Amino acid sequence: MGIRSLSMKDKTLIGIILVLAALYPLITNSYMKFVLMTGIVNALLVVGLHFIFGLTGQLHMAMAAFWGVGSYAFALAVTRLSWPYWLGVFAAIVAVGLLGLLLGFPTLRLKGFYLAITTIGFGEIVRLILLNWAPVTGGVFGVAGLPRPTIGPLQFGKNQPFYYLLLAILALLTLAARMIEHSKYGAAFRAVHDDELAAEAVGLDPTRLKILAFVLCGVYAGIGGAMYASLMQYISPEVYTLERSQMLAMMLVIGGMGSLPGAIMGSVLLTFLPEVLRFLQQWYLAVYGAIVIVIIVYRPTGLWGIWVRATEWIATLLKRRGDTRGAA
Amino acid sequence: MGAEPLLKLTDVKSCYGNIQALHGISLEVYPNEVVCLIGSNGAGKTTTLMNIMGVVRPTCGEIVFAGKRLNGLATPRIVSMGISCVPEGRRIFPALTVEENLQMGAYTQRGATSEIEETMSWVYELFPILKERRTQMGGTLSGGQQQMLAVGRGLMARPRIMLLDEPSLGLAPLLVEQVLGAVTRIKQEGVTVLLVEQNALAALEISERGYVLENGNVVLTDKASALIDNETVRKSYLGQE
Repeated sequence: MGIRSLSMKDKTLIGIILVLAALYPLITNSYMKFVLMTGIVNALLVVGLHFIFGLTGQLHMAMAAFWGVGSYAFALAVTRLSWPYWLGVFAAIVAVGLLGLLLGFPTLRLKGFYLAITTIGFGEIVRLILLNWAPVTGGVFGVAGLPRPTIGPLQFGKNQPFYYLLLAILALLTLAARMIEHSKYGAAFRAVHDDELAAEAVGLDPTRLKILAFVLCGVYAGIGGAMYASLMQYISPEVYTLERSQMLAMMLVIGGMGSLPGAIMGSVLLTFLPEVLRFLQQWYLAVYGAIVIVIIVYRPTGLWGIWVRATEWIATLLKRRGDTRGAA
Repeated sequence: MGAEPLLKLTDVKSCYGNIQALHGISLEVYPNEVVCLIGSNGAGKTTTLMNIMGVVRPTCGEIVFAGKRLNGLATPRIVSMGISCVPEGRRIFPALTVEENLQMGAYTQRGATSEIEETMSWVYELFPILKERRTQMGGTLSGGQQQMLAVGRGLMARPRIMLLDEPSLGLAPLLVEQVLGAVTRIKQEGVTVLLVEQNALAALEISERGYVLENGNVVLTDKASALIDNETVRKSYLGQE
């Protein structure tokens, strides 16, 4: 398949991965390099959220719980149980996948705000368990001494190689997400989003599809959670809050609901925005909020929509220049 | 007419909460027939279809399709047995392309991709406009085209019987003719049709038999031609003296 036959979305996705790959050595500030790594981990989570919220349209506000359980499953497996690194990652995937199943079942009959409220409650329960089940989770002290990965002779202990490993994982998981999106399940997720009753009438099973989307989200969140723990090398319960769930949902919305390139753009940019605005000191949250509101009100299709418009504009501009040159 | 009915409802009763919507509907549809249900708003026409599809569960009575009891089965199972439904108001998926809409109709099909593609080209043959618009979003089609898409989506399940709920609703007279013309073509392709319509005259004209529903009861049933001539039907449903 030649590059010309790829869709705009696929081309943009490849472009984003390449830009992210080139960006790391260009950033000189080591703190900003670390922020970029956090951005990639957030993208892993948001691509997972894309299945249930972006495609299927279910307002899932317990993303921090998914992410937290992923982090803890990995951390406890590799420290307490001394499991090998990648088995720990696998444990995280299974744990959060099961959590998706667990959350999926009781909430199936709920829609919209009711589902959102239930998932918020679920997220709080998980956070409180992480905080208070001290003998297992370490309570407020969290879990320290988490390893960075190795693959055979390859070491990813330093930030730079680990960054490229994270990016490769993101590229792989995005490719998988794109393939799922293009399968009949992808269209079925969107059909449930569009009109659940009609979906049922033509023989789709919205209940099973929603559970499937929750589980897929869980698998991605499991990997994201494990990678976050491995990046920080230390985890504690206070980061897995409702605020972070809202932030992850916002990354998807700002990026452009239902589009994968948007999900990644939103994750990386919203991870950076607070850092870029830090010079505003106490005003930064107000400015940050204002930027978000402006995008949501004036560009409901988000960054993806802005990108599509911009490329169209450039294309017509180039065409016009070509035409006038041809006339002269 | 074949001896065995393809679809048979016996004394089906159904409730929405405390309100009883069907008071014991009995009807039969024979293979390769077009049968219509007519009646005013709230007579129970749509509820009857919803009971057949398993979206609403009957409280009492029996629904039998091709010798198998449908009571209590889940909708996807019922669709895969060979019943498909074109719901009222079309209910196509606006954010899916025309082709994706059709694919969703074949969702329950376990067959190979080539089989599904074959069905799709058959649907495109029946409704060439859909082929022209295949990459367009369903929501951008006109009302008539959306109805064609809804019918096409129903056919993608390779049904033995198709339930059509108010296919002419909200369409201009010319389009009504087109859509009902499609029903006749579907019948020629060997699909049995159970049609629900408020546009009673148009429905009776393309049907073999009809049932008149009133307040959740079947009050009258006869050959379609006889119903058109029936005095009560003329007065109540055809608006003729």
